[in-house]
Amino acid sequence: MHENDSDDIEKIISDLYSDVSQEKPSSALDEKILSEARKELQETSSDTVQNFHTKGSGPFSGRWTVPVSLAAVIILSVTVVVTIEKERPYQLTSPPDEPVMADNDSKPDHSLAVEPMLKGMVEKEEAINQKAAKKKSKDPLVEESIKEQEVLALMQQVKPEQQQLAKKSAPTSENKPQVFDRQQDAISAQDKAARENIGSAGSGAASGSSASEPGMASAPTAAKQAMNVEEPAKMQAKRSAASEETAAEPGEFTTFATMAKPKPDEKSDESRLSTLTKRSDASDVDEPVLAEEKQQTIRSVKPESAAESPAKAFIAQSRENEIAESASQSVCASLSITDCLNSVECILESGSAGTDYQCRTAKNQCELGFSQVNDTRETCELKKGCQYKAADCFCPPSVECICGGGSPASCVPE
Amino acid sequence: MYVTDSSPQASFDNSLNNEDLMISYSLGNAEAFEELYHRNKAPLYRYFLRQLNQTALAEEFAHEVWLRVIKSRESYLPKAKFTTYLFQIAHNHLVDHFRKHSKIREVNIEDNEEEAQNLLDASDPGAVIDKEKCRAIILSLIKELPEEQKEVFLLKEEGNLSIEEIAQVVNENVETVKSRMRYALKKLKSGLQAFVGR
Repeated sequence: MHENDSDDIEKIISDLYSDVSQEKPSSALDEKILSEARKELQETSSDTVQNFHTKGSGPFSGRWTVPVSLAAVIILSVTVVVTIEKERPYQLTSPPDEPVMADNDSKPDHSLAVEPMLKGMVEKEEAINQKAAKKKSKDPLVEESIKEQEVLALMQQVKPEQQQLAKKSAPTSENKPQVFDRQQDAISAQDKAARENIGSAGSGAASGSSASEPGMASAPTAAKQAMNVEEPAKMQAKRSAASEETAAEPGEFTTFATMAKPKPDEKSDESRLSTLTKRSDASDVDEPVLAEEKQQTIRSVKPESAAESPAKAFIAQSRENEIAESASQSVCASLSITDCLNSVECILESGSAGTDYQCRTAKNQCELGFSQVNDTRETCELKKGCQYKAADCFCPPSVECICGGGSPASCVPE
Repeated sequence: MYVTDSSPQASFDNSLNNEDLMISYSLGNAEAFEELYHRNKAPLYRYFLRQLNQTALAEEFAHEVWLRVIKSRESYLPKAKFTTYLFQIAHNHLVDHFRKHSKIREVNIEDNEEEAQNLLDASDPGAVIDKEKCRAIILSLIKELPEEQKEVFLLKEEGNLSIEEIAQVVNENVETVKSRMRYALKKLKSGLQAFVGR
């Protein structure tokens, strides 16, 4: 009720007010305001047209701004993509792989001319070794002695021919005399050792079969030490260079091919190697002959210069490595676990039981120079081709091992 | 007819509301503004007239408000009623003016009170109140209202705004606006009753 009264009052007052409120602004004011409204429109439209014309002078103006911008972006992106695609084949071309650093046990880098020759030498040697192994015991020392005997025999075969060669050939290259001199020294030392052993071995060394000859075991050691062949590859390269200069050297690389027919027209090393290969292939037939030659070698040792045999050098090198390895093995084996871990030449590794640790010589370049205790992953991986292997439940001494034991940290080839 | 190149339409539709007309004008239609102006010029003028009590000043203020509307046509957005937008501008102008000229306002009130009193004195108590006298009485009663109540009453009557819209214009809450409106009507009622009671 009260609200209805108020509403009624409000309505009455509102009606009264609307009846009495008739004032209006003057027409002058109306005109003034309307003119200003029109003027505003005109000014705005003129500005728009002016802006359109001023901005429209170029392609990036007005309504063309967006389409032109889009076109420019598209063209740029396509250009970039095409450029990248063109350059991609070159980018994909990876740089030539860097040569992997050779391990100590890897073969020396022979020249192309010498590799086939070496192969022949090695094959022949392996064939001989296999037959020798069948007939005799498995003593490594015995095997070495047999090898030495064979080498000596081969050397004796070469000696006469090399004497002729030395007489004929003139030292046209600087390295040639050095080669022969060195070879002379090595062979002379070997011959000396062989003579010594012959006396001790007696007639046993003269047997045609490859029987065990312990008396000859010391000969390889002495011969090896005397030869002092550091890099067979370089010497062979020098030899090949010398052979090329002295054309008339048919027998230079046919050291073992006493039965091979001399071929005066063979000047290249490859041809000579092929001859050698033939010789090596016929090793089965020639074995008895070699045995006889061994006897001759032992009986009549002449400290004459001889052309270096690649096989001999290779064998000598490998034997040197074996000797060194065996020596270092004994050194590492004598180290304690702590000393072995600290050593950069020895490696501690765990056995099957986990805690039966053994210390051995470092086998490769990754292990060599890496201390399993002091060095870190970064130290290991700085070497190319090496990968750090973290410790796996390694239990150092005086520590109770609850995890069963495992290998310590190491640096291994990838 | 002023038709610009960018105008979306050549002529306006009389059924359009104030917001549409303003939008049309913002797009370049001058006739839309004319219609808009003719619809709202008187209430705005009277709004100023009732509070300033001077015709010249009222026209000046009206002119300034419309000029503001014209200048801001491009940025106009129909977030609220056009009248709300219009009287918002008017209110702000008025507040600025009253802050600067508070003395002038007091003088005007005294003159109006004297005029109203004269009308009352001259009136015949027994005679029927003619329209002119009624108008004078009401106007005098409105003038006597406090400014806040007067403004609320005028925004309601001239701008045809709701309580909420008035609250938005004067920047007060709705309850305050209701209260002011209630008091204003009460005073006007009592004044009219007193006048009729004589």
